[in-house]
Amino acid sequence: MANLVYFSSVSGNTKRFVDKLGLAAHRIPLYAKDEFLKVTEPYVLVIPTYGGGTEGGAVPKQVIKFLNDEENRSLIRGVIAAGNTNFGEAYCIAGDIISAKCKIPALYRFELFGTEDDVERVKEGLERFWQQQSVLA
Amino acid sequence: MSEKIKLIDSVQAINWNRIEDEKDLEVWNRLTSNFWLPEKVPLSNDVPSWANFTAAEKLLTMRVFTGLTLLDTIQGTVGAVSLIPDALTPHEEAVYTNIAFMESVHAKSYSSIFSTLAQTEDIDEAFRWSEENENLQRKAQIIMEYYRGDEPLKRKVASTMLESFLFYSGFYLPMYFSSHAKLTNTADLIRLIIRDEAVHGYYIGYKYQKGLEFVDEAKREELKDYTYSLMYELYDNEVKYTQDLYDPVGLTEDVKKFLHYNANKALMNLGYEALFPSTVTNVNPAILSALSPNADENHDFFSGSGSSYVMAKAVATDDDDWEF
Repeated sequence: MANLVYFSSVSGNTKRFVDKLGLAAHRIPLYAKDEFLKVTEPYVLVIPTYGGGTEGGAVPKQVIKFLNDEENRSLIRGVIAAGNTNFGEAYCIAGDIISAKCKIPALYRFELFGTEDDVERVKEGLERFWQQQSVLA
Repeated sequence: MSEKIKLIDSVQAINWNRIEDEKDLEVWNRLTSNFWLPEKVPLSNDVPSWANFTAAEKLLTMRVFTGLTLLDTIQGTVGAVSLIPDALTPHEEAVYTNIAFMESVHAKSYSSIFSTLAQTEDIDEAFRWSEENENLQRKAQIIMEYYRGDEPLKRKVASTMLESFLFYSGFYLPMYFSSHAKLTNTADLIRLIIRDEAVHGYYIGYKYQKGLEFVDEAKREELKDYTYSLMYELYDNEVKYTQDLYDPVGLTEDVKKFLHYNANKALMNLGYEALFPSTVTNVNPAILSALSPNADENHDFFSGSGSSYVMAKAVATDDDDWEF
C-alpha cells in the first residue's frame, strides 16, 4: 500500500515530483467543474505551498475543499509539502497547517520539484512509514 | 539612448474578469499582497551594530550592496520591461509592470540602508568600486546582451538566472551577519527582497516553460543546451566575483555552496533538473536557518533523527474556507 494524493497547479512542479516517485497517486482536481475526488484508502498528501505572505492562502483552495470532506479527511495519514526557503517562515507552511488541523505528521519538505536526493528519501521514507502503519493497524 | 525601446504592437483594454492563464492572477495577487517599502523597516536600529563592524566588514557590506543595487536597477528599468512585448496575455504584461516597479523599490532600499549606516564619501567610493569591478560589470553585461537581443525565450532564461541565481553571492552576506546577530533589521529588509525575487523567478520561469510549448523539439533541445551553458558561463564569472568580495574575509567556499544551491533552484524554476550534486550544495545550516527558520531537517519525520512523530504546532491562518 503506497497511496498518494496530491495537488499540483498549472505550473506542475508537485506533479513532477510525484511522477518521479513512481507510486500510485490520485490528483486533486484543479477546477470546480472537474469530478470531486473521493478516496477510500489511507493516503499521504503531497501539496505545494502557495508562497510567501502572511495573508493566508498558503493551502490551495482545492486542497481545503478536498479535506473538508469528512471521509477524505479521516483517511489522511501524513503530509509532504513543497515550497521555497526564500519564503522564510512560510516555507512549506501548507504542510504545517494541514498537520496541525488533521493531527497527522509532517513527513517531509522539498523545494520546487525536488532533487534526486529528495525522491530517494521520500521513497524510502514512505516505505518505512507504511510498514509502521500496518504494524499499528 | 539612441535606439527606440520596442513596444508591444497592439494594446487592448485589459479585462481582469477574463483570465486566460490563472497564474497571472494568482501571482498578481501574491505580489500585491507582499508589497512593502523600506521606510517600514526600522533600519536605524542597526546603527549600534554597524558601529562595531571592522573596516573590512564595512567595506565588504557596501560593495555587496552596490552590486545588488546594480542588478535590481537592471531588472527594474530594463529586464522586466523587456519581457512585456513577449507576453502571452495582457495580464502577464501587467504582472511585469509590477515586477519592474518592485525591482526599483529594491534598488532604492539599498540606498536607505546606506544613508542610515554610512557616510557619503564611503557610499560614493563603494559605487565607484562597483563600476570598476570587472566581474560585476561582466555579469551585468552578459544579462544585458540577452535583454537587447531578439530571442524572447532566451530573455526569459537570462531574467530567471538573474532573479534566482545572480543575486545570491550578495544575499549571502546579510544572512551571514544575521546568523551572528548583526545588522538584523537590514537582514529583515533583505528577506523581503528575497521573497519577492522568489516569486519573480518562479513566474518568469513558468512563462518560459509555457513558451516552450510553442516551439518544436529541436528548438527545445537548443534552448536547454543554451540554458546550461549560460549557467556555466555565469557560474564561472560568479565564482570570480565571489573571490573578489569574500577572499579577504575567508568566506568564499561557504558562499560557493550557497551559489550551487541557488543555481539548482534557478534551473528548476526553468523546469530543468538540478546541476550541482548534494555534496556541494550543503549550505551552512546557519545561513539556511537565517533564510528560513523552518528549513532544518528536524522539522521532517523522514529526515529527522528522532523516531517520534513530528506534529506541527497550530499555525495561524485566516483562511475561512476550512469547515473543521
